[in-house]
Amino acid sequence: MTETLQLAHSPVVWGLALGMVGLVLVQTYMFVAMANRYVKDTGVITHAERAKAIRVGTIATIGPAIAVFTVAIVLIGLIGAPITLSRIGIIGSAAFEGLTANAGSGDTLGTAEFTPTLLATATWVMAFGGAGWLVTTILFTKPLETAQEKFEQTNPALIGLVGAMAPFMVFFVMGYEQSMGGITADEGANYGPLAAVVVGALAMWGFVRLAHLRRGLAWMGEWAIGLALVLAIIAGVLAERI
Amino acid sequence: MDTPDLTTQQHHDYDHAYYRKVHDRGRLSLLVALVGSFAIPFYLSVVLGHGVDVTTLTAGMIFVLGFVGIIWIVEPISYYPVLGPVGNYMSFLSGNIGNMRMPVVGGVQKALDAEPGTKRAELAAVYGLAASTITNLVILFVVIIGGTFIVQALPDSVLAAFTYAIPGIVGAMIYAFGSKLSPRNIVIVVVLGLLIVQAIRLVGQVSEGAGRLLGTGQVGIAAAVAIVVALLLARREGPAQDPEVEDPGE
Repeated sequence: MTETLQLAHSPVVWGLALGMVGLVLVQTYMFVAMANRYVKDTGVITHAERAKAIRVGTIATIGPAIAVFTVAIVLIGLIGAPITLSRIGIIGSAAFEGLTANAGSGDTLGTAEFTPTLLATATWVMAFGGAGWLVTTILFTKPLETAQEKFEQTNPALIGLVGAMAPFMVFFVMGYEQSMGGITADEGANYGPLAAVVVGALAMWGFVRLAHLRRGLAWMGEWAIGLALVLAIIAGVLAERI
Repeated sequence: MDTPDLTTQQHHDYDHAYYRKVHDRGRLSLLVALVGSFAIPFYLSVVLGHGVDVTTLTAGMIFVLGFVGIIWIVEPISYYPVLGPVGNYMSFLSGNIGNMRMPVVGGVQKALDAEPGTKRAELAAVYGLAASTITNLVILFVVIIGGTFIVQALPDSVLAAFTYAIPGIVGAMIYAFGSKLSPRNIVIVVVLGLLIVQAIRLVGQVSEGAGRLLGTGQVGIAAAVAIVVALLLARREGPAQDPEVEDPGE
């Protein structure tokens, strides 16, 4: 166990993990540079809108990131910091990587049976899990863009409709499952998730409306997700105690 | 919306060149990531000679295939209408799409009043996603460096409260995307969504394995159904017939 975690923290493993993070940063820099160029040449969004998008992106990430990384901390204890970094900083999500790491180690995570060979096996399984998404994204994105371009010319309303209907379905089903999961839980009904979903939606509506109400309140539009999240967490905790 | 006249040949050519570059660089970066993600396993198994446990490896891969095999295919397609091409390449490299990247794009579109699928929405999303990726990495580094200490310092009740962050953000997104749809289309999605969830549950009662397989992929399956329905609706109604209700009550 100790030997396995020592191996998981060896300098080469650290180096390879940081290399993957570096790749994410390089890709981000590349696409931002291209977007800057595009915006400069076409004026498709303003300077102020760009700054706003960056602020919204930062604010909307903080809450979920903290939530996800409470799972990451557990994973660090089981498979070490660099492998966690290389899996969660790119491609995967903490919950999924936790499950694949466990399956890839033959359920030996955190036990004395977790040998270096099983650590190696787990990293193969995790890499395989992430590879699927990379392959399909490489294959599908260009054809989808070509299809979108075609639709844009024949039926422009379609893109907007698909772009709102598909994600609405995604979040409705996620919200429904999380709410029902809490209510029908084996260890007694928990209305926390339902309350968090409902209050999250109502608060988002409220803050967006307030932001449109007066010029002085426009900043609320950017903070809407962050503020809605705080209220949703409070509602979840309160509902759990009922 | 506010895009300069993109119907001119000039702009069309410009876009064409831009997207060619997007796909070249997007695919190249993901290809490097694909190869790179096998570097740690290769180092541990081959370079250091720890090998693999073949039985566990096989079982693990079957688990992964059953768990996310459908999602691999459905996600890049169902998230594309929101994320756009650059967003797809960025999000599927940095991960956490449902709980971080989609909310970011939804929030950016809402804050800028940009319709999904427009150039405005797409370009703004790139900046939102870049900020999200950096923020995510900064927080991850803080956790990696001081994680154990932070967890010990925070009371359990505070840590437990964060389990409601994900349902909360899901709720916020239900509003953000629902506000872009007409009441009729909202009803269509809700009814279909409930039907899909119940149908998958029924399958699970007949065959537990198949139910679990479909259950893990149900969000993607539901999204795929929504895409098909949206295509059918738009085709039947023709261009610009859907009454887009933006911020009802205003």
